[in-house]
Amino acid sequence: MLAVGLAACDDEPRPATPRLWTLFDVQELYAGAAPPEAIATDAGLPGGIKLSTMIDSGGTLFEHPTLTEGYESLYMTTEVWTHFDEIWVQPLYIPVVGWQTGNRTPVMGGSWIFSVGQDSLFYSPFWQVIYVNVPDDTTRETLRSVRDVLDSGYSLHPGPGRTVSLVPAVNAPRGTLPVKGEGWLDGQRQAFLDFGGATIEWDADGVIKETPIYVPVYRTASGELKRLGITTIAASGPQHSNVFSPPFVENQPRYAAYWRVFLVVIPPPKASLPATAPNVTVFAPPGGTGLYEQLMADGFPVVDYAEPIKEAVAADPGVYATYEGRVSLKPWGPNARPECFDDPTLYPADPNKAGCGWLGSQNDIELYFDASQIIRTDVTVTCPVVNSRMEDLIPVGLK
Amino acid sequence: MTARSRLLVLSAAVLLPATLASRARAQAPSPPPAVPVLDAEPEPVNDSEGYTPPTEGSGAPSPLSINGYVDVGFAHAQGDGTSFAPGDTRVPLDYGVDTFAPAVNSRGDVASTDPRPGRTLNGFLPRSAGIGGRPSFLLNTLSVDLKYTAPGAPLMVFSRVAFLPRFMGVDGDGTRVVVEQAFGRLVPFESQELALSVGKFDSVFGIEYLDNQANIRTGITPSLIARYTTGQSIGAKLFYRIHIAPLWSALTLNVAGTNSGNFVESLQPPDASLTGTPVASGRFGYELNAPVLQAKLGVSAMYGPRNDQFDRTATQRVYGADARIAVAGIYVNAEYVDVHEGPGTPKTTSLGAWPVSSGFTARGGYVQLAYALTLDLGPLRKLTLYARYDRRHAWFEGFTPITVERFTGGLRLDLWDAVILKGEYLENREVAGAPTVANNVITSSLVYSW
Repeated sequence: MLAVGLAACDDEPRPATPRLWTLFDVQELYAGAAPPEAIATDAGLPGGIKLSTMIDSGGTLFEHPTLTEGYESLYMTTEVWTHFDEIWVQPLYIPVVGWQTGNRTPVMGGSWIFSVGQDSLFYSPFWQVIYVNVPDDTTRETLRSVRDVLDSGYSLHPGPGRTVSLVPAVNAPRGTLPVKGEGWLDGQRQAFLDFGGATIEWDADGVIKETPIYVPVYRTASGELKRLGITTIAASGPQHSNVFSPPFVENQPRYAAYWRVFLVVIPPPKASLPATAPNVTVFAPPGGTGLYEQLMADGFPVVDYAEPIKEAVAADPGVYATYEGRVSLKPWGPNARPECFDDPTLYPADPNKAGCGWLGSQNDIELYFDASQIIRTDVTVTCPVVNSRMEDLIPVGLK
Repeated sequence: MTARSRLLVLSAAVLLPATLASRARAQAPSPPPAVPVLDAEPEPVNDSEGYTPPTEGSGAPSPLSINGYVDVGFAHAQGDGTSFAPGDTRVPLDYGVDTFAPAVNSRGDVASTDPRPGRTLNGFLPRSAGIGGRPSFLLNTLSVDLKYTAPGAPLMVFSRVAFLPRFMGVDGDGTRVVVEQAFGRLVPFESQELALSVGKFDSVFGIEYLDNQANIRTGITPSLIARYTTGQSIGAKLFYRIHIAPLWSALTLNVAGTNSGNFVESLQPPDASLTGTPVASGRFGYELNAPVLQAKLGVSAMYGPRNDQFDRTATQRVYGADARIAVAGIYVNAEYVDVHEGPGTPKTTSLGAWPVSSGFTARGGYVQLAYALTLDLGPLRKLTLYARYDRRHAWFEGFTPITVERFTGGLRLDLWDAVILKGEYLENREVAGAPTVANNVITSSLVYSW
């Protein structure tokens, strides 16, 4: 019994435990006695991901502001992974009648059959549609599980990928998007949100390709990294792909839905730069959400703000909250700050306004920041973009 | 008869039912060893001391003995030799089926685990014989045992090395050499049946580990729950037996602390502790050794960190109960287990590194019935008919629960004292959850022992 008595005690670092949070998990956290403010706090993303940036306690999805190629966009966050190097596409079986005739029609009434449930660490909302060629008299009750499908002997036809999150009872923040539905999971009915096709790609092993989403951070005087505001920057393609725009399908941009979170470390502005040179300046007017005061306390240099913008922030801080923490690349004007910081009429953003030269695209980041300032985290997310360029993105339907 | 000799006879006698008595025939007669051998290998049984060679001097037996066997098989599995359904593209593929079902030999190797391109596994796998759905001869095992009994000391050193030639697919042929057991056993008190073993040794959980070797196992293939109970590991174990002579009974306790517990090595590597914390396991048993009826009943448990990942807070626990009854040439073995593993870090098994160690639960068991007919027809010494029913219900956290069952039937012939010929048919059925797949197996085994 020598070994039994020697319960070891060592400090050797071990691989972190992979975690997955779905909206089921977030609702469960809300239902707990003391819900945490954030999840995914141990994977390199300062502050983790706040529950409120996925859904609120009432089950309403949050539309998260982001910048894509400089455009204002919105996404929803439905799943969060930590310490996963890769996740996989899973089969989604859709019974279809009329396969031979070419008049192919999915069996109506919620007949989709999901193959892996949300409690599995192998769950992903990224599915490859597998069309099941069924007889005309097939109803939604005919096939209710993967076993039913594979045992049926009906021919299977691989189709495109799509992003469909299995969800508890949740509310869309506005309108009817994303599309709500109900299908089968292991013989039970299961609700889902359909974010549509043209949102994922995968390799020969079924591994979903990652696209970077950037979170601006700053370094405090003590060396700690902290978040700058809420706005993120979503890439158009994989790292260093020199893609300037996502593909357009059905006349709308189709961004990836699966993202790897990267930090972009924003350096302090340089007052010594020539007046025509782009500078890096964090928008953090005093009296807003507290970022100005936080930066001051952390020893991160901030610029002075003119009275009109201070007064506007004080009058309606909600309008400016979205912009706090954004980084302007504009050269400084004679007042030692970007001139757009002085004009309250530029907020909120509008396609017809000049804007403030925000750091807002993958190409900006890869152009202005070196590798040491772009830090990969162990956090990946499902964040389907639901609105871009001031219009809702209609999910791509079945082909 | 000395006290030690009586102890030896009784120890061997209570082991007898597991091996259908023929175990004794399968071994060349040899003088009683200096210490009782409880489960390391089959031991000869004598009702009388007969001639006892001197323990020292020129007439003394060699303290070193070499035993072993060769297991040659011929097997044919349906389909492609796996349990994977052709149209199943779920990830991981091995979570939704029973990959251990199409076993072809006593090691539990299956005909194939090849998922085919584009399909992803996560390490819930047995070893593969690499024959797919093609009928093939197999050299299942070449096993060599070395046993050294230290003269004048209550110490026995034992090692068992298995050579396993396999076709590895794109990697070609390969022979794996496995040190299955290597331990020293100390019996400190002559008056007590108490043994302390340190090294790599058999499981202490349940009863099926006693039949791990092809020259001992009644049939050919292990049960569907053998993966949880029959693995060897490295550590220390203590065995104690107390006899209640008036009742023809004995109580046993077998406890161990090891690197990996009792899972087979393809699921949890035994050769290093990945968490730094040992796994505790043990069995408490009752034995009845009446003249016409022999029975063994036991309860087992295992608890500790799962040794296929690195987080010591990710635990595994297994409970089990077992029974063996032998009467009038009929032998009944039955076992039940309840398994639970918590989720942990990325997975590492003897087969490689895998993305995730998921939470896992399984319940299952088997009942085996065998009838042995002793004969004297030329070389044929014994004919044994056997049948087994297995059932297993299991699920990985969040994945579809599956229920499978298996009907096994077979015939075994013992020829002379050194050859065993077995033939067996396995009918695997997917009862629920798992897609129906053609994965029945017909297999045979020819075992030469020395």
